[in-house]
Amino acid sequence: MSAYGRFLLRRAVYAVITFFIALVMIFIIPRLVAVNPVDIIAASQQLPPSAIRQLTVEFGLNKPVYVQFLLYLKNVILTFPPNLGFSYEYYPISVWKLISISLPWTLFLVGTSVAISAFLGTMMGLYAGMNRGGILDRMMSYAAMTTQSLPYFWIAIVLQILLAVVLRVFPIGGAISITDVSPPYSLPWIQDVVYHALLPMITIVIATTPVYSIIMRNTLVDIVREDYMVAAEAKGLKKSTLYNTYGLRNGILPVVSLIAVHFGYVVGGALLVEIVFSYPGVGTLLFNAILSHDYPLIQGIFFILAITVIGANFIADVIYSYIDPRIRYT
Amino acid sequence: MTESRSRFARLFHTEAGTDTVLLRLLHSKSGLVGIFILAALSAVALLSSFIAPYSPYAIVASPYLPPSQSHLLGTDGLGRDIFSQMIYGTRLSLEIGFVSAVGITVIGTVVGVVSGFAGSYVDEALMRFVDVMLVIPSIAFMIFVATIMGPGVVSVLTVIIVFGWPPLSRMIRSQTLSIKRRGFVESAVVSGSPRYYTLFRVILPNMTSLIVANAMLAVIYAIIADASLAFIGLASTNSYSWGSVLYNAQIEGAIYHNGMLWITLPGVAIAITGIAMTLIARAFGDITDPRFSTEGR
Repeated sequence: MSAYGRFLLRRAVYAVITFFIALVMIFIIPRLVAVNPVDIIAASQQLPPSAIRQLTVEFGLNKPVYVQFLLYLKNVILTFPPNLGFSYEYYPISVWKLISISLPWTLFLVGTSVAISAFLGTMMGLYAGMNRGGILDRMMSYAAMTTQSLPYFWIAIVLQILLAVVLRVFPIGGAISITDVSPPYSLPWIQDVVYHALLPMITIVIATTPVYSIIMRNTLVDIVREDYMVAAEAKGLKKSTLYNTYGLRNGILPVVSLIAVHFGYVVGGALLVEIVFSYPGVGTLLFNAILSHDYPLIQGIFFILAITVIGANFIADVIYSYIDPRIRYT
Repeated sequence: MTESRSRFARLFHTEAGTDTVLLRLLHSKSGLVGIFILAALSAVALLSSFIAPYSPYAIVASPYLPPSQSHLLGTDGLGRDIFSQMIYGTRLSLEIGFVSAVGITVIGTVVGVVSGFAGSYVDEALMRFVDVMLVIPSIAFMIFVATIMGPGVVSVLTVIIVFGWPPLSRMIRSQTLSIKRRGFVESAVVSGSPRYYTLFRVILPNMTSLIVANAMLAVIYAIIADASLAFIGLASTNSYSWGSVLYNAQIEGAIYHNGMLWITLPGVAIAITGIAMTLIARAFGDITDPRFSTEGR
């Protein structure tokens, strides 16, 4: 097998192991804290004893723990779509169904925002690194300090008040207008969706762009000292050529790896931003699930989030190794 | 100005080794501003029962009053004074921030130093575990665990610490690896120092400012995490932090009840704390590694 193949295989094995550990945590944590899901449901829904007994059997809680674990693995891994049980709040709709409706909204929000802020951040970092100590460099450093010091759903609240409540430029929340009757994926529908997604996206872009730009800038500070940069400069290359080709191509690597490391954080923040804007993604679903103690739904959401983030990290690893061949041999 | 500042700094001339860092921290503009803000916030937290005009839990006026002389930030849906809630919130938020930061710093440092120093399979095992923790979406898992443990300060502290230490341990590990190869550590090993001595008396003191700087950042991470958990309804309901004030403002629809200040100020308070912590951390960082400074070259 080639070195590249071995590299990919190793990353895939890591991803699978990580996913397995996440599964074990989802299974074990509720049992560690000695919480019986049936008790929770019984307390919140005031069930009669017969129903409690039936639920205990249905959850398999009368079986030994290792049997429960194997059953759980069979349900979530060997079954497709994964059998995550039924929501209490929206019974008889299955957890998988609820998540498969809301997950695309979250992925749309996060994917688009991360793409925009990675692009903006890289460009701004490049410019700031070229002009160290300049206005943009200083402003960026303060912007990064401020956005990193804020819970980023708070930016969402402020934008909502300013732009949706006071100025009325954007809708207060939701993903599509209630009055919108145009068929899905038609032009007016797409316009409406983008219009509703703008505020949540702007929030995520504001919160994450400075992080990417700082990494880009600090990488450049290191790169400028490299021999090949000194040689290129001595050769008489224009400053713009020097940075836009030599600097950008080498400086972008840490940004790519940051996108991967950062992805879980961005998704986590996006969940809270969704709550602010009542955006019908996984975050709002989770919020309602917590409010109504919808235990299987909460567990199902973590299962899906773990898969999504671990999968995204694996993809980022593959992309990273594609643009930086050195990594394949380490 | 310089005279009075250095006089202030001289107060910290205690032990050799640590005084120079503290001195330079007070001499740097950002360090001084950060320490000043932190001192002011701590004063509010310690004196909250004297500063707050009302009890944060007492119903003292009619609901949803706009800001006025007697209620600086207005009242909430039950007629409780929001300004007093913010003042008391300062105490709980800072407590959660600093307690978690201590936990995170201790665990992160010990794991990082041991991993870097021991090497081989210990290192491999610890770092693979850290990798897993880093990939798992932490806020989401915090919410999951806090839901199961039930709302309250203990579960909030637990999840913040459990998910907070892994990034720090990575950083400390790589620093340990680089220090390990330097001459003075090798001399210590060759001259027969016991392992724990090399680890905690030779290697660790050389990372003090890195550790302190990251402890400062851990405080703000913890305050933000607490606010996020509170915002989703997982804070303790019988005490106020900035996050729970924000949560109340959100679920009681503050923006429709003259509550602009109510809903914005908790975030401002968190941001101010965060900026103070970042300034201090950055001043520490600039002292030890001046390469990335924006203050001239």
